[in-house]
Amino acid sequence: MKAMIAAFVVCGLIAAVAPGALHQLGYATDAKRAGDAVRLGDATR
Amino acid sequence: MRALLSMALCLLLALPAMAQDTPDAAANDRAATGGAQTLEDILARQRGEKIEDTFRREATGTPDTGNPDDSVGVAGQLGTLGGASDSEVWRALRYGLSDVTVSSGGPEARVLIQDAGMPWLEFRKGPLSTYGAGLLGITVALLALFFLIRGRIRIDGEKTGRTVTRFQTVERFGHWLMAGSFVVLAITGLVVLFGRTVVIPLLGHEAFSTVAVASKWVHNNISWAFMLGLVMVFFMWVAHNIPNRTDLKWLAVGGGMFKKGVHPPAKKFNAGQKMIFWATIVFGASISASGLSLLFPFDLPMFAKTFAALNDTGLPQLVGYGALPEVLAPHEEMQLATLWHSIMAFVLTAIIIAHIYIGSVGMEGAFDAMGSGEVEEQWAREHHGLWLEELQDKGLAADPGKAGTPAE
Repeated sequence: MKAMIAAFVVCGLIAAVAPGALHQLGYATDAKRAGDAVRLGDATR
Repeated sequence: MRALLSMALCLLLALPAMAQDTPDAAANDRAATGGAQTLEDILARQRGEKIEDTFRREATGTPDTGNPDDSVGVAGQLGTLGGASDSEVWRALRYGLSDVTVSSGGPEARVLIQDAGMPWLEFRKGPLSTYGAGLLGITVALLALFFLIRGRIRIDGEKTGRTVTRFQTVERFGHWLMAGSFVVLAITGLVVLFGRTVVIPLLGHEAFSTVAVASKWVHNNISWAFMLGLVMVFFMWVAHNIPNRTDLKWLAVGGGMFKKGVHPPAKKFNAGQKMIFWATIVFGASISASGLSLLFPFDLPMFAKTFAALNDTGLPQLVGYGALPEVLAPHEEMQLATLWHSIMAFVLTAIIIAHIYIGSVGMEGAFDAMGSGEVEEQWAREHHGLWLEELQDKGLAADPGKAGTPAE
């Protein structure tokens, strides 16, 4: 049963780490869709 | 002379009828509407029939090469000399033949009109949801019926009290990594698909909003665990899942599942487990590929290329579909990815429900294989007799036939 519980914990860890890892790897949807003429996420500036 | 005149009159009268059979007839009919669609076109579309629409598709005021880059662009079409009419401009936009320029975004941002969206939505709301839910419901009903008729498959022989190691820790870890994430993926996927029709009436809009956002986040991110588990399971077990002649014997008696006391020979994996394995690998890989396409929107289009490869084989034409479209709008790629992802997921979910049943309540001793990794020797003898013999030959399991007696 330890292998099963460990696998479930790792499932959660992978899910938690995945978004940050993708960001570190340079993938961010808003950044990829933005161009020189469009600034995203600076509405509050 | 009278006969000749009669023949001439017959030919003259027959000409209009012959003209209707010529290929130019349709063009002539459409010419009567000034090149626009006819009443027959409208009626055919209302009947849901696919109409031949090149008369509209090509009437864009620009050379139609099928490539938007060859178009003169919206600005050109709306030149001061009135190079194209409003209708031509809108048709060019609709059919993706207009050279649209945008200040940001990829090719998908240049698509201003994409009229495949409604058929996609209708299919998602209709056949996909209906048949998908039906498949899962029928699977559960059949399993319940099987349980009522057959009951739990018990260990027939006397238990030995000895156990043999069925799966090592790393094997069980890989299995549960894939299984645990798949269950979560299936539930969150169903929430996303049936949210509007099932969850909102139950929980209300506000609660569903939170559930939907959480489901999407979990679905997207736990998918990596599923893909990792899938790769682990493939490499750990593929060698044991190559079909062989023993599988035919197993299949010939239905694996012994329908009759008490029938135990066909099997190695580490029987034919039923091999089918589960290959279904999981094939469907899981397909779900993963389409899922990656959805995780990275517009970056991994795969259907146009797949359709082109299929067209080259001649298979779609052979089964009467005709050539599949090899040029798809970026949004069409995403729409097809969602549908394919869902269809494959429904089928795999139905298979896994059956797998969960037989691996838990359906068969005595089966869960131990993935729980503790140790199974009762008698269970192994009945369900994987050849595998147990291999273990005994290697000295990895007790062999009563070779065991010495106290007198010896």
